[in-house]
Amino acid sequence: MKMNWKALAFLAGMLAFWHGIVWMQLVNTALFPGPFAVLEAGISWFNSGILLQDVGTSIWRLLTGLAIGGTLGILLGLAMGRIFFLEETAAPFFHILRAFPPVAIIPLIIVWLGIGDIAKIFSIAFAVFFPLWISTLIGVKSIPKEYLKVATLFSKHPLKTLTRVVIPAPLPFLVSGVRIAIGMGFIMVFVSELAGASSGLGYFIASAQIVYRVDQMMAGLIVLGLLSFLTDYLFVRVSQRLFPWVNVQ
Amino acid sequence: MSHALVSVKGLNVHFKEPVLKGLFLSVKKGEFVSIVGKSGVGKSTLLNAISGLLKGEGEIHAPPTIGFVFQNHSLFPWMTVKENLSFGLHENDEKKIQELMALLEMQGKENDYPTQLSGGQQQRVSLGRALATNPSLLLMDEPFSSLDGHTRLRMQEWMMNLIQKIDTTTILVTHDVDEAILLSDRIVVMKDGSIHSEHVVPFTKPRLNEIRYQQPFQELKKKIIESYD
Ligand SMILES: Nc1ncnc2c1ncn2[C@@H]1O[C@H](COP(=O)(O)OP(=O)(O)OP(=O)(O)O)[C@@H](O)[C@H]1O
Ligand SMILES: [Mg+2]
Repeated sequence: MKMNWKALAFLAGMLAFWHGIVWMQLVNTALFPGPFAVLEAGISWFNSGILLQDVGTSIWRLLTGLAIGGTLGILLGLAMGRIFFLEETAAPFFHILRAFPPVAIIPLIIVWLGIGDIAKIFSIAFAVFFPLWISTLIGVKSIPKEYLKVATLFSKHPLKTLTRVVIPAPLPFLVSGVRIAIGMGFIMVFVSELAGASSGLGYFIASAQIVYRVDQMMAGLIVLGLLSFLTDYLFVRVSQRLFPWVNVQ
Repeated sequence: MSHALVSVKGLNVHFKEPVLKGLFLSVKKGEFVSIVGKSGVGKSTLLNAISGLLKGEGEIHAPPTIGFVFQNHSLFPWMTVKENLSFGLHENDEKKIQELMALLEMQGKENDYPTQLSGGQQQRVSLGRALATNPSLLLMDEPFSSLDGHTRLRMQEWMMNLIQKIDTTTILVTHDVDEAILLSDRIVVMKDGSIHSEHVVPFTKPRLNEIRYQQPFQELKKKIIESYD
């Protein structure tokens, strides 16, 4: 995403329009609060100290889930991409699992694992596993045969081939896989916190809904959106720094 | 007559159908041999077999250290020029790298990534990586064919100069008969899975690009192309 003055002006225009509707009292402000009311809700949320706590909880769950699901996905993707027997045997099973919408497993997870952190982290890990597994698998399988030939000719050590060729080659696929996983992870954080949680952004929005605090719901939504955007942005910046040869866009 | 550095005797390679059928080829030390022939005739297969990347039936004698230059995907995109060059070396041999950079006329580009280089520069680095281990045999599979016409001409000229400086034995696969004549001591034409004919190139080296417009060059070219079918 590129910000320019036209985009910024448009954004400002939309905010002004939102404010205008509310200011002219065209809508019921209890159901559709204006931007300042939402900002105020956000500020008092921040001042209460709960905002940072909610953000911290949600991010912690997201990152733990990403780390667990991601590591498993990448390792299995690497193994299946390199060992044809494994791919032939196991990949169809994972393709079937992949077809389930991850959000739909949450009710089952609640029955099996309850509503604690473990259940939430499990749902996030489950959801992010698939994009990382499949992008690693495709990335490894599409390594040009020339790279492997050079590796074979030049290095007698299979470990060198693995670390210097097989692992770096699929990184462009992995970078986009991680971005998809981040998006998916945020959906799962939110959904898993809607039901049975005592903190987190999903919980904040769900409890605001019970008391009809639309301003708080909107503030929660905006924070969630900003957080998701920021996480992706940071990831892109770090990837560009670490892997300057990957075209991240 | 010097001893054969590469000798292939009765090589058979079979994929779904036989590709190489009892092929014989012998290359002397210091010789530059080009292999031409129609697409799909098995030229790349032959290079792969000589390098040991592919197992076939028959006898193959080739030196243990071999450099290989490919047409596409010739460099690792995640490594800088310097890292690509030193991939085959045991440790970072700064002196060797600088020597290669000078030979490739690429000084100052050590830390560039392949995507930052032109196609011709990429192929030069690829050649440099192949030469880094001081191979006794250099194999090149259509190294210039993905380059545009002008760059290809410049690279052929540059290659002509380079082979005067290094005395590596070289086998080049190419579709460009001009390129084969300009660079080689001998050209072999492959057909039906074996060597169909051989043509010694009589022009003295170093050859200038201009010789391709001269009568004897054109006659040799005609003779080679006619032997394709
Ligand atoms: N790994 C492989 N598996 C099956 N068949 C193969 C394989 N490699 C090559 N072949 C077949 O062997 C034949 C010779 O292929 P090869 O790549 O050696 O031809 P070539 O002379 O190099 O062609 P080109 O000039 O187009 O590069 C072709 O018919 C090809 O389809
Ligand atoms: Mg070929």
